[in-house]
Amino acid sequence: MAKVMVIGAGPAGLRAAESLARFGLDVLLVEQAPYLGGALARHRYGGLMPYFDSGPQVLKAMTAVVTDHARVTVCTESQVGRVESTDGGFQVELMGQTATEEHVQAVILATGFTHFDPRRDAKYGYGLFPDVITGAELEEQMAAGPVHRVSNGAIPESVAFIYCVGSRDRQVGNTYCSRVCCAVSTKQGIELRQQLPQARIVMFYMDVRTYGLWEDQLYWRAQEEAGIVYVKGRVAEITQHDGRPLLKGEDTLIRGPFEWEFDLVVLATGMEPAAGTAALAAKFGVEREPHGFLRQAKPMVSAAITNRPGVFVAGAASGPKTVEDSVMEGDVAAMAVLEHLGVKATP
Amino acid sequence: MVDASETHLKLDPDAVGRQDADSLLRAIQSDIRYREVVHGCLNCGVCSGSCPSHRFFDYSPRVVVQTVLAGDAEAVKAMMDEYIWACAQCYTCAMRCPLHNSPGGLVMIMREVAVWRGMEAVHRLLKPYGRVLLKVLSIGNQLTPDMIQPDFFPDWGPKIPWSSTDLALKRKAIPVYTLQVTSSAWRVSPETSYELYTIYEETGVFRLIEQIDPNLFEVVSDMVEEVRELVEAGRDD
Repeated sequence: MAKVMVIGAGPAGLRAAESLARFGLDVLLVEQAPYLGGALARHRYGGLMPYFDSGPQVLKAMTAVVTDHARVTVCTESQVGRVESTDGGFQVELMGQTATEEHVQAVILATGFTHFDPRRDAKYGYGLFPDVITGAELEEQMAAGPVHRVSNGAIPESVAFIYCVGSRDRQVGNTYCSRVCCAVSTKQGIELRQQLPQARIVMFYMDVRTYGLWEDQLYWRAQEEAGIVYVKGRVAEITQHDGRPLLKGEDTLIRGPFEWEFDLVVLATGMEPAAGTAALAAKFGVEREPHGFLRQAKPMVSAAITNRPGVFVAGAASGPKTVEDSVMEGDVAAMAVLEHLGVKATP
Repeated sequence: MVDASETHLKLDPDAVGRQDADSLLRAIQSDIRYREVVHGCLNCGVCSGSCPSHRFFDYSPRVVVQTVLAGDAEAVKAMMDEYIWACAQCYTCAMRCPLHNSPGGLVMIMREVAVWRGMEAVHRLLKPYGRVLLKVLSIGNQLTPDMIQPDFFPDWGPKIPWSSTDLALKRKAIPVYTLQVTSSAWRVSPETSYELYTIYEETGVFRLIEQIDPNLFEVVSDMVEEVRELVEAGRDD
């Protein structure tokens, strides 16, 4: 039976591996980290927007299938070395924990994303002021215990979220919208309200993109049930005053210039292509689109098709994406592989 | 299509004094720098949030960009009267704008158009700079030692009275021949002034000065005549 290599074991790669195995193909699931689940596991996401599913439970269900399935070989702490094309596929060298050479008929690149590092946008003082953290760090805090100020461990009485950090900004080189940060921040605000019933929670935005069904499920709910305040204005800079972050900016609708102190500031950092994506694209001869993500060659036909026959893409490797969209694309890629290999349903 | 003659960078002498709102907006938008300083606008407010003047005055670089983009010529003209003069030209807005706009650069264009067209605001705003203007027009220097007088710099602290005495002697402490002067920043030859006057005349600067400050223009005219006679007499010898 055909063998397929899936590179990256986040939601997209896990789903692709699961589907291919269920259809009777052999799958090599290659993951450079020592764990499965990608960003979901790395940052210990507690609740997943928009339905507030439990992150750990979703993760457990996703990983259990591939680790239990006889047709899936999981290679954690492993990386792709040399790649050669052959008549019927690719000869791929694996390095690290699993050091071997494999011949596969098709490859799915599901290398995901990394969060923008806000040290690259100095105006927010991230790395300089301890109480300025990222959304991913907030998830880690919520998973580990009560949310607290990093500077002194105190429970915050006010929390600010800043949207579009590392997104929609020529100054940092990312001109695209990362699509999920508005909704994720709103979800976090709603979760935070459970822990901090009295706190002032403010979202600083330039546009709130809780599109589709998220509008009332998240955006309206955050205001109507959680009492979260939305202020339109991109924060211009953060300094520190009396040991607390001081946000300076313009409320573009109502109040004009503001200087506003908060106990804790959460930066909604955007998504960038994962560090290894460029190197893998080069090895497999896959083109990248102008922002550096893997280029979907025929998006009107299938989200998984790249310029290279036999190499497919799934999840955030081709652009910022939600967990549910990544899972969906795992299936899309599996379907594209079946079509590529000419697999037919037989009675 | 933009008429090239509207481009104020050409310093078209015939444009001096034209103040109809549409032609002012056309002059701004046809400036060679315009496309570099305005790309679009997300209305995010990071420019105003960064702006020191926004903090203390009724001034927002975002509103300047939005008003020009909206193409409301009358509103733009109204801004050129006072609003845009609150900008400190620090360009923090340009450093932070996610679209790489330069609101400070746009304001600079608007100010240049306002000056060139001799707008009312310019009469008012240039008043305190009369002495500087005279120096620039006559010898091309902005500041000269003899301008340092206590009356003019009340906010410069207690050293100014001392600094304004024995100018020639103090200048001697700078052992450079061209700096042994007090009524100019350095020795300016009549030939240099002569050339300056030709440039001012050809480009319409004199016409502009005549419009916005007739008294100053009268003083300058006498000076020009004097220097021209001097230089031309020297050439005849």
